[in-house]
Amino acid sequence: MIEFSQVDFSYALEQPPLLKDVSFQIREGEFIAVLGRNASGKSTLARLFNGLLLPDRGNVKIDEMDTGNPEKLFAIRQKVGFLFPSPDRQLIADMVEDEVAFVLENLGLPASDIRERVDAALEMVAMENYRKHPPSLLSGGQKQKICIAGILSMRPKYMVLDEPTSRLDPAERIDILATLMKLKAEWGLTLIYITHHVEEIVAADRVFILQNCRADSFSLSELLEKQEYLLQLGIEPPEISRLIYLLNRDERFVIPYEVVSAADLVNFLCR
Amino acid sequence: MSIVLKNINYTYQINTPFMRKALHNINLYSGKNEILGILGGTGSGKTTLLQVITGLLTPDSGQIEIDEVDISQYRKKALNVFDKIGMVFQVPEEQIFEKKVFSEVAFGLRKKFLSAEEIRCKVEGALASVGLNADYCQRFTYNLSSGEKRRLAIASVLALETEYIFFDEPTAGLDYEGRVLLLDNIKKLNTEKRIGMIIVSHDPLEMFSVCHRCVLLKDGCLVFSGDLTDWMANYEILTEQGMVFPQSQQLVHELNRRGWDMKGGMKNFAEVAAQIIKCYDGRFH
Repeated sequence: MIEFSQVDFSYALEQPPLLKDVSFQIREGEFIAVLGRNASGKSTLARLFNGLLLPDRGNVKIDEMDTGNPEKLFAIRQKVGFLFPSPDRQLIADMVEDEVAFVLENLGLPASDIRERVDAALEMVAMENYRKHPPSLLSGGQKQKICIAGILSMRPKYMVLDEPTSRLDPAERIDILATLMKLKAEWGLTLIYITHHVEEIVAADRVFILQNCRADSFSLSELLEKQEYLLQLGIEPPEISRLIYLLNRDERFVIPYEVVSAADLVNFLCR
Repeated sequence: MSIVLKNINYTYQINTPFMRKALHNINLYSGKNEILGILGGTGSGKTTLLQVITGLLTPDSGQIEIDEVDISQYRKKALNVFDKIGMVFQVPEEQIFEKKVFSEVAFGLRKKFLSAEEIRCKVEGALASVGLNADYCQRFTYNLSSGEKRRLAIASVLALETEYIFFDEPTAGLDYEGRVLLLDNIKKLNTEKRIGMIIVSHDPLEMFSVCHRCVLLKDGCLVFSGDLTDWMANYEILTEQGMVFPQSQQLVHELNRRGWDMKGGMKNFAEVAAQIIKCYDGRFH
């Protein structure tokens, strides 16, 4: 379980705080989406999960281990995988399989274990045919998948993803999300997923919205019914939900907000 | 006044085992006051094409003419042409290098023999147009969030008021307000200042809402060109090519397939919703 209790954070004393008195708990296997406008503190929050940043006040505990305790940091970072927004900033090796093996080598695992885990991780993201490729020649989506594989090889319990799809095309987005959903189902991986695109997080268990230094928890369907509120917060509801919102203003239509795809809405309209 | 590309070819890592042809025989024309969109999946050659047009990459073969000057041939003359072009790169961190926000935006303006007052005015105007207020001027660039950096990169290019502006995925990482502001700005600059633009993106929804015309790149080939009506008319072929249409357009296509009579060319969900209500009336009353 991840536990934030009364966390305050600011980058410098003279700057206004980014987070104030933030408390929440995340259970294992949950899919948490994090939304909020630019500069609302999303990336800052993400970096508090594995001790890249430490709170000014309050504490962050990962499975009872405090990120403020330097002796526990190594163990915490093995449990919490972190995916940066731009894969180019995360990739370091000159061959895909070296990249995925990097963490494992540093953990001092035996060679046979490394081989097995690297193969499994690459298979998980469907990149097993690119073992010997240099990452620099892959597409953005492929690079992002290699980064994900690098984290998976470590077998983390939690995974924090900071805008992982902002540079991907729609087909790649769908692909990455399907991979993550598979991992959640098969491994019970806990996901903390930061994004600006609400249509990506329709499967989220809870949505955290960052605003005014707070992180408030909502369910997605509850948010989609309050679209003006969402827009006020600088968050755009998915296209289909906005359409439903306009249709529902006409009293002949009563379309539930659980409908999130074009195909479902067609079926609903053609009943 | 226009951009003309003739038979452009480009190959990465030429004569190595990783040689990869990125552009195949591209022919493209863009009129001066056009907003042209380049759509395509990652790895389809969008960014390469944009870098070839701006002269950052030299094509293997082919001709690029900007305002009738062949930039692939006559480099000295080409320099004057590059003065007319502003470029917003894909990763804003790659183009920001000044310490303070003000100096970053003023950098290009300082080369233009303007007075300090004019520079200040233009810098603040450009920052305001991307939603950053005057307080940002004295902020450190490395202290900004990634969304703010993105806005700053755009402002520093807008401030120059060049005749052409090229954007490489300008809305990636922007929040809703940032996107709306930018897209409105693009439309405004095009109609008021007659600035020609080329936008690279893989978000068809945004592209159809601002671009006069969109082309589709696939594996380095230009496979389609047209406005939204043309794209919708070729929905099935384009979907086979890997194109993912915006959800509201998918809805229109599917409803029409089931016998509804919806008109094409609706640019956003609001127009689609109005059209659905109208058709619904026709069908059931």
